[in-house]
Amino acid sequence: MEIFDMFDGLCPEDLPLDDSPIDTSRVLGLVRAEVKGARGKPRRLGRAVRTGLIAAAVAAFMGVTAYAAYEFFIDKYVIEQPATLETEEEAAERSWTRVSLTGYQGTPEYEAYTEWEAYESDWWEKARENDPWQALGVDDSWHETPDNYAYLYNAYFQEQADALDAIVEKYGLTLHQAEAPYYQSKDLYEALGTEPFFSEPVADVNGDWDVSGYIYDDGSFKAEFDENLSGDRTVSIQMFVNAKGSFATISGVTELTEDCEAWQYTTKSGRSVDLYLAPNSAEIMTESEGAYMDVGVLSGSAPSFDPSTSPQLNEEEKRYWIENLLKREPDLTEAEQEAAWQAHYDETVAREQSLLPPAITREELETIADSVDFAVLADRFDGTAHPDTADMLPVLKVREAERFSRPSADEITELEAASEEVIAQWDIFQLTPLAGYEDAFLSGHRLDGHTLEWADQPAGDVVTRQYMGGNGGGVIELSWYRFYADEGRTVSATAEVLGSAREFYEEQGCSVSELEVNGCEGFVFSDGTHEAQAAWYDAERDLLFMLGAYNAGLDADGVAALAATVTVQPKPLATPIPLP
Amino acid sequence: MDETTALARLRRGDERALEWFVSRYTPYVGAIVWSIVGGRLTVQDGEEIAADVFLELWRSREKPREGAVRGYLGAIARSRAIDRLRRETGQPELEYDELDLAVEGPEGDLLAGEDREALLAAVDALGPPDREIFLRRYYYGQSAPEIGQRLGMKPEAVRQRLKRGRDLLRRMLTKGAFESGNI
Repeated sequence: MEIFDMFDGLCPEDLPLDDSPIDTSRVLGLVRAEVKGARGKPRRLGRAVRTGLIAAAVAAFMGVTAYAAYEFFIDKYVIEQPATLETEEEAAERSWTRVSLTGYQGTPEYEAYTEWEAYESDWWEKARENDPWQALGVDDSWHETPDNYAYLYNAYFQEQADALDAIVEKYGLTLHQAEAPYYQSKDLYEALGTEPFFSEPVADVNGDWDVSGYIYDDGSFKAEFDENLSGDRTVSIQMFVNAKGSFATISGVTELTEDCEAWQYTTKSGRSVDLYLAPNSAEIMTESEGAYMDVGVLSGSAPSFDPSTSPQLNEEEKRYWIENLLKREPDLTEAEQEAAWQAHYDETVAREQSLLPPAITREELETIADSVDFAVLADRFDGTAHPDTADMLPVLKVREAERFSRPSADEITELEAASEEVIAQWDIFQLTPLAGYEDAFLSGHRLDGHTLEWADQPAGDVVTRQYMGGNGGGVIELSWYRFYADEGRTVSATAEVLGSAREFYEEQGCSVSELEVNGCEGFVFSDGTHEAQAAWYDAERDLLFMLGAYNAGLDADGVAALAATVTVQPKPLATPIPLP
Repeated sequence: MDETTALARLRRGDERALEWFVSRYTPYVGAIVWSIVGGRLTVQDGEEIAADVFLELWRSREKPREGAVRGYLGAIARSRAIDRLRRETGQPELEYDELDLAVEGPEGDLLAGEDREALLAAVDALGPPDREIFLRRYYYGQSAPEIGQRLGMKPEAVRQRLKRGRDLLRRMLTKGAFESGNI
């Protein structure tokens, strides 16, 4: 085996990381385009896919009772049954059916969509044997068609573009010319030129990322956001508004079950919508003279986690998990191994179930429908000219670049200077070497301005020493933190964060115990398998210490004993601690 | 949102969760990718490779375990970058004396299963600066002159440390030596 190949599939901790010019916003754009199906391989699903069921809402507006014409009312929207999905387990278990989110049978948008999909499928089936890019000797990002054909419709070769043009002309539609992302609802309203039409989106902790998605030059858009139900329950929403007369490739998947129900509802803004509630999904659908509108809720009447379909709990994963367990505890009997796995299995199922979205009721689905002012959208998409949002798209792209921009050279210099200043003010502490780790490797780094998951305030400063390798394997990590309540770093918040950290781990289901380290109050916990941590607050130095052991064969008692050996003494830095 | 929540949402197919991971980990993924292809491919190539890494996360979103997403992304980043580099330039190439690390064990393919963890532990045990030199050469594929330039060393000094590292690694990875704890 060649030495380069030895590292295949591995990623060492603490890799040497140099600065790179790779730009987050551009990577984000590429990823977004591909997920929406703009590049490369044959896609199985429409560009924007989510779970959900489309009710035959249109019947109400057309004045036609369409239900009687179909065996199931979703048949009007069906594109593929059963659906081919990324996760085949889901397809097998829930009999997913894929449906159009842009029109229904008989409408030009639906007919063009299905005809284009059939063409695409046939084209890629033939091309699969001979990679067309390789045949041309070009990279698979190359395309000979205009950008909107390639990135918005997967038409990379002129032959495909010609076929797309023919289909679009046949049904009297137009193509999207461009799109742009947005990260705030106010940007969406500005692009469309409307009053706000979302009343309940939940903003992120910074308060400036409430609704995000993308918008096209004709006003069609996708919106994603969270919405609060009663108490602390939150659901995620994906909404699509597609201008009639525009060609779009957007589909969703339905869930066929006896537990579904559908009904019509008149919202507070006076619009009649169709609602559908399934165990794992829910839909709100309506249309105006100028657009199809669909609101998908990523939850249902009885969301469930099925362990039998989870790759985390299958036989292969079990074998791998037990292999790792035996490295730490080689003397376990088969019965003990099985018991340990069962405990891990039960813990994983409980955790996954705790992460399920909350179940929603009929009334809550109606409340969600009320939170979207369809009347505003109906006025905007009133069947006359499409909203012209083309001028706003470059503006939105600039805003995206500003949001994900890297710090400037001046900003980096300021960060480095601030880091050196802080490090110089700190005492540096020495961890007594642990038996078996004498030859272990030490590393240090500092984070500045990093928001930690269990601290609801800006992180102050942290220094970490890691001990890795040795006979026992695993990692032992000692970190010390100082938090600030103000940006000026004049008011300490370190003591409060100890409590925040404890609450966080308790909420994660860890068994947390009191701990005293050299007169300092703290706590310790173990997850029972591979992680144990101790934390304590040194009031004299206003420092929060955290000592963690990962796959190091230490339980809570072991980590507590190790914590007691941490000696606090001034120690000059032998070499400067590099920034990450 | 925190990473636990983001991972749960990612597994449910929430595209916004994917974008969360892109925003959080592009600097890390980009650093690995650029450490491999920088100076050989363009920045645009590097960005495409980085994007491929996150798309692989999207396609295999059930695979990474909680708390291990960073390592999962790092491994994919290296794999994608090395593949692309090989396809376009034929690099990285071994020098003649690097072919001496023909590691074998009783079962033939030593580096399978648990021995991969042994490799990581053995590399970690090299200590600074040898560990960094070793990873730059054999994880990133950087040349001895490139490494020397970054670390302020002469290329020959780099090669000597690499040889010492390979010798040590060969001893460490021989099953008998490792089991006795002679790291």
